[in-house]
Amino acid sequence: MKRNIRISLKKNSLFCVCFAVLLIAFAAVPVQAQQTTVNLKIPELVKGSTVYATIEITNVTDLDAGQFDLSFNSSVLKVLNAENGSIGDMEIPLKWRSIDDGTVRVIFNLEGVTGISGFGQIARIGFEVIGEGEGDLLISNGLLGNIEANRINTDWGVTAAKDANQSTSGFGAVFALVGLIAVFCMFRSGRKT
Amino acid sequence: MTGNKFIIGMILTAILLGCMPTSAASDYTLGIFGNANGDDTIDAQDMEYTKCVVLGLNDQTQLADSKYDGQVNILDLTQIELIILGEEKELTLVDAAERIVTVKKPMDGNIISFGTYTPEILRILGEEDKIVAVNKYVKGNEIYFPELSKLPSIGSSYSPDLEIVASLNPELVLAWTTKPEKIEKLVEVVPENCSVVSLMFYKPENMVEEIGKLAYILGKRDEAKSYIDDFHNEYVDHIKALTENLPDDEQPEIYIESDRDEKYQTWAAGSAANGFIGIAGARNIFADIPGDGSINVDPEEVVGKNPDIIIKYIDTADAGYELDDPSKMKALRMSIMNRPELANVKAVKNGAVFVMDKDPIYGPDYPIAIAYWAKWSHPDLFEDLDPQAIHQKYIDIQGLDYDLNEHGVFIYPLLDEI
Repeated sequence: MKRNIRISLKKNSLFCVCFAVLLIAFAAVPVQAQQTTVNLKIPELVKGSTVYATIEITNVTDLDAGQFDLSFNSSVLKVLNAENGSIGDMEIPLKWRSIDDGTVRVIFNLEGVTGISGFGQIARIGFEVIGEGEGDLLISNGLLGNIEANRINTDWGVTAAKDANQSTSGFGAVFALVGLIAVFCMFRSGRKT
Repeated sequence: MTGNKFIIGMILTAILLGCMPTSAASDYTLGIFGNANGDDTIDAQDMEYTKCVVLGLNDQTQLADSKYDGQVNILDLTQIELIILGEEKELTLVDAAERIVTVKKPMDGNIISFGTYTPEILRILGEEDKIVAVNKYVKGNEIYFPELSKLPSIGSSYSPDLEIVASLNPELVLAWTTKPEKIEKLVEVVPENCSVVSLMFYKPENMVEEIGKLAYILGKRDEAKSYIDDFHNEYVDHIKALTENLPDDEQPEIYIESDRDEKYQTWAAGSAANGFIGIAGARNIFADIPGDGSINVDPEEVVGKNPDIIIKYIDTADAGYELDDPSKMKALRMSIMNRPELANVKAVKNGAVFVMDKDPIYGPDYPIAIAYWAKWSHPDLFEDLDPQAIHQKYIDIQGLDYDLNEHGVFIYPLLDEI
């Protein structure tokens, strides 16, 4: 009798823990979906080739302007140009300048103050690969502004190019689904005992 | 190859031109944060200038920090764009007391006006209906301010009744002082959401800039532009164009005397009056004395400087819109002509002694005074200038039903009596 109560308690506790994890997962998904992220997509560097570093943006709302510095290893890369990106049908009109040997500063300001929301590409920065080694491409001093001239809370930390296509909200959904299946299985096994 | 170099050169030139400050083309700098290039307006050039600051191509100017948060970045670009479109939520400016003030926008609430000239500007901007209190001079001037004279009075601009100010729930108090400590007392009594901004509308060199600032605050730039283009610049620029290159020996020397009881009180180099004289193509005989307030001078000095023209201000109680009889002006003129010590002064000997009401001298109507002074100084040069017509035009701008052909005494002798 006591053994049964203990087993029942153990299962209930486990259920509660799983349920709490699920709740957290579900709660986290919409929050992550609202976070504006900027990803730097870095191509494979082959000496003698021309490559483009792509700056991608997701989950942005009412974007009006932005700026960032893109630093790189100047013994490996030589900057050639910066091409306008786009979000939806809206082109991002860039201005850029090399501020030192290994850094370009890129800024943009959309026409008018109607802003743009969604995802897309801010810019493509073209490089000539002039040497061997790491490109050390890194975004710093990033700032996005909205149509009221306020800062947009942005995650600029993502530099893993190859993983950049894997969206955060998709990961959350998979995580939540796995949790749901686990709870279901536990619930079923509990009934059998 | 040569073609490429040419194109690159053109692009570089275009970038550099966009980045260049253009303040040299302006007479003044509009003291609003967002006027990055320091000229007289906020426009697309300020956006270009700020872009260049962010890119490190231009030096950072104080006014480029349009959000006034201590750094110049792309948020300032959007703020400038919002200012240009009149959609900004906040606006930061430098007021007449050299305070940096941030006002919330849009500004739709009650306005308290401390200055005497301020209500005239608010009428020009079409914002008269927002005024809820005025100073005692406006209160007492029923003909010139038929509606505003019915409003509560805050007393004098120098010692206002702060209880009345606080009780009227203002959103904007337009102070009239250059002393920051006086403004801080006001800030203490007004509601938290109320902005206190000092604008004087007093000196000719600041007039257009200050009207511009108030227009930006109230979102009335078109109305301000209309006054500036069609009235202020129409006459002041015309007069300046004819006087600014006159050699010294063709500029008559003027002695101006205040309307106060004290004789021989005049104005020095930094005064508004000194500015008016300069625009009119004349020279203030006391322009060598520094300071911007009134000064008392020795009669012997006036005699020694032997002015060509004497202009005597008369108190508004003895002239102006409320009177039609010039007898007090006439008597005042005679009293100057009869001062024994001035008997041999050129102005007295030639009858070039003029009495003028103070009303059209200071404030946004000052082009009227400039027109009279220019005409007195250079009758041939300004033969076609009609100061009374300019005055009537200003009255019409103010929306007053007042005919100068029938009412008012502002100068003596009249132009056709000289």
